Amino acid sequence: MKNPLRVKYFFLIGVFIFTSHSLLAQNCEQKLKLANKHYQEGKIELIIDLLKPCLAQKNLDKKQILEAFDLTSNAFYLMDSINQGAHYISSILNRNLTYKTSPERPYSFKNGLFEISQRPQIQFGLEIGLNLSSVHLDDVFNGVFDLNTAQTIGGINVDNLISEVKSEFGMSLKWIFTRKIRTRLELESGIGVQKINYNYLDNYRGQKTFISITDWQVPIMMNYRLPWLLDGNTFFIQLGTVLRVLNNWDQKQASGSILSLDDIRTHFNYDFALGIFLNVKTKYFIVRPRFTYSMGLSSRAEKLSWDQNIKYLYNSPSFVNYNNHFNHFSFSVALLKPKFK
Amino acid sequence: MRLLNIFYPSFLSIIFLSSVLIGFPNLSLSISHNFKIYKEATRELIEIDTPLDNRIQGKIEKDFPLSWRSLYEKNNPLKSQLALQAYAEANKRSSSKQIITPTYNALYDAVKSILGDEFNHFPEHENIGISYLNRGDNGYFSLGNDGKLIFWEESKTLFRPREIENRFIFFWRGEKMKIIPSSIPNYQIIDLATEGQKTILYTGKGKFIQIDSETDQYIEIINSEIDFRRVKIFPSDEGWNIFSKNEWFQLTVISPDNIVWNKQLLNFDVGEIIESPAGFLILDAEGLYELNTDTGESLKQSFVFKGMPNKIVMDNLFKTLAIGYISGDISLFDLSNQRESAFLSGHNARISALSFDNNQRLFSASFDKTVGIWDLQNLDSFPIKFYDQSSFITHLYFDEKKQRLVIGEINGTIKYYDLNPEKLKYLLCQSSIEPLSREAWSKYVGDERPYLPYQCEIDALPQDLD
Repeated sequence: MKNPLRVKYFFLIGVFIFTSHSLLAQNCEQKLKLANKHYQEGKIELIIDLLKPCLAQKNLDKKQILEAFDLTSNAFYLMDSINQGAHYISSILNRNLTYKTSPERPYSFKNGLFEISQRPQIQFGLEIGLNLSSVHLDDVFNGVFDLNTAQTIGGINVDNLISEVKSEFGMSLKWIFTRKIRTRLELESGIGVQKINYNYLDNYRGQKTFISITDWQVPIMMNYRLPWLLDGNTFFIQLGTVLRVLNNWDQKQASGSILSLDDIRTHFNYDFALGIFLNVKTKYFIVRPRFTYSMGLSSRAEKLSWDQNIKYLYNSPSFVNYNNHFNHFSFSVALLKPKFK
Repeated sequence: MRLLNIFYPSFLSIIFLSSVLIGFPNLSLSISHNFKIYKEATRELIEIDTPLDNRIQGKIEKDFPLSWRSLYEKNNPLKSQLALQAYAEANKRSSSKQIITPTYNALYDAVKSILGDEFNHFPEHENIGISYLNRGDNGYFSLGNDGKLIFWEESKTLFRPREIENRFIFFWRGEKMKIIPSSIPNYQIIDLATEGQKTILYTGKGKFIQIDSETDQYIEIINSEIDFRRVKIFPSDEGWNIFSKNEWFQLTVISPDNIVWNKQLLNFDVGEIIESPAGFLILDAEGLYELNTDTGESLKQSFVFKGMPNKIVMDNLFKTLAIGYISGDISLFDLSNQRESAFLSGHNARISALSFDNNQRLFSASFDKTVGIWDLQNLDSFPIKFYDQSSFITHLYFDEKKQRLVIGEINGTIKYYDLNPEKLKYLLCQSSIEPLSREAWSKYVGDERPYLPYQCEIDALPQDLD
């Protein structure tokens, strides 16, 4: 007997919830119509209190919610309450980035919508990129050789142990986070991973070989919004540094054993980076194509003792021994979710 | 009992569901009822095809039949003929040249139908909005919300727009001075004030530009403490009074390298603000304060408001204060005893602009898209009303010399009304309007009166008041 009773009460509660929700939704639809009428008649102060409960309880469909936010925001703008009007514009943009209002709305509202849509408070999302790097070999073996006395190893010129360094396309994947700090300025950071294959000619071994380098990256960039627009979409330039942490980079030695390069390489490196990108608005996301140039500013070769250098040099004179710098040209596309406040 | 247990919830659910389907009449009754009233009212208005106030329609039809006929006549030149005849009849009845709503509206409507809907428009700010409207020398300045500053130069019955740009700006930053080519529209001008040869522009974020119209030199003044979107600027003896939130700044620009700022905190927020004999009257949410600019003290005033005040204005003699409420009503206060002397009820939405003239008239603009002209010596008569606005009115400027009312709407439309009906008559007569035909006379005036239709005479354009 107990169970049927319980089912009955649950059924009743369910019916009550369903009906009350329907009633509230119907009531809110009527309130929205009434709010529109008040707006046409200029009785704007009545709109806010009328729509407040409907917006709080979310008893309207998506289109109606946007209309309610639009009306409320306009009412605030017309009452010179700009901050509150802007708050409701943020609510609109959090639901529809490409929201188009009626051309008859006041300029202050239309301008607010335009301005705020260009500067989300925060953005986060994923970026995927293609990378082409160019390696610059600065010096050889950390100056261990006196070029006047020891210019060759086994008859091979030490200046030319490695040649034809080329990179294949590398891939990068990043989680990005940006935060607005001024009207036109954003701070961008994130975490990502990048993997690139380098082909080179190992003159010491007399063969072509390749090495795959994986970096963990933390960009710290300042983004500046340029004053030009492309079909309503914003242009940015960015400047900053990319902190790179190298994954362990093992290499097969001439003897056949694996040399862990932790001993001769620093894992940490930082780049100077310069980029330009476009924020293309879609209904829910920002699509961000970006072109970046970054230049390695620190060497990855450690200062080794003379003995260490000789040891590694004779065991494995290769790409990794060089004090090399990487120049990266990358093209990436990010999909970002903006949040307006 | 068991049967009841099964059917009882089902019965209740059927009641609930059916209530939903039929719209649950009890819950939404009050709102539906309101809508019904609105729809009926709208239908009535549509039937007579005019936005005129219902209350006065019957009176107009009875007392001003020719104006009434002219207003609803679609065909020209009959519309214009009826308007001119109505105006001539009104002049016969009253020697006073004071405008009467129906007659004026009939003339205005006839001119509009002949010269086009935009015959009295200043069109450069449409869809943008206006942030400033004032008289200049032989014309009007209008500033759009986009920073575009236009001078409307008057030439007979026309106004020619002239955009103010391509000036040289005299920059001053610290100890460096230089003159660089620039143009005012490059700045987002938010507000401006003028006094004599000096004009000051506020361009936002604490940046001001003072212009000397004689030397055409500009001084850039930056005060990082004023980082607000809106400020209110008034000229003072030494320079400018600038109000922002709860702060009062006094700015004196002696030379580009000698700029003096004084700042005083107020114990209230600045809402509406107007000049008063002692300094300023300032409206905030709590009440009305008077700021004495000599002593720097502010005192709360004892006015008793009949609603939420929104706009204030004082007459030129500093005797009467008008308070516009968000309800659309207006209170007039006698400043000698701070008591209400009149309560004017004629607008249906918030008062958005108020202005007195020197002839005991109060001009009121409202978000109900109408403008009212109140004769303060004869408050029993209904106000003269203009209904020709399509959006909320935000600005109102009365040009005493020209007897012209300039109105700015939120959609950026600026239009002017020459309150002297002779100017409208002049425009109609310029369009070669023939007198009413005998047939039309019989139909609209009646055969009981001799056929004496109004004959247009091309007079000189009526002169302005001195």
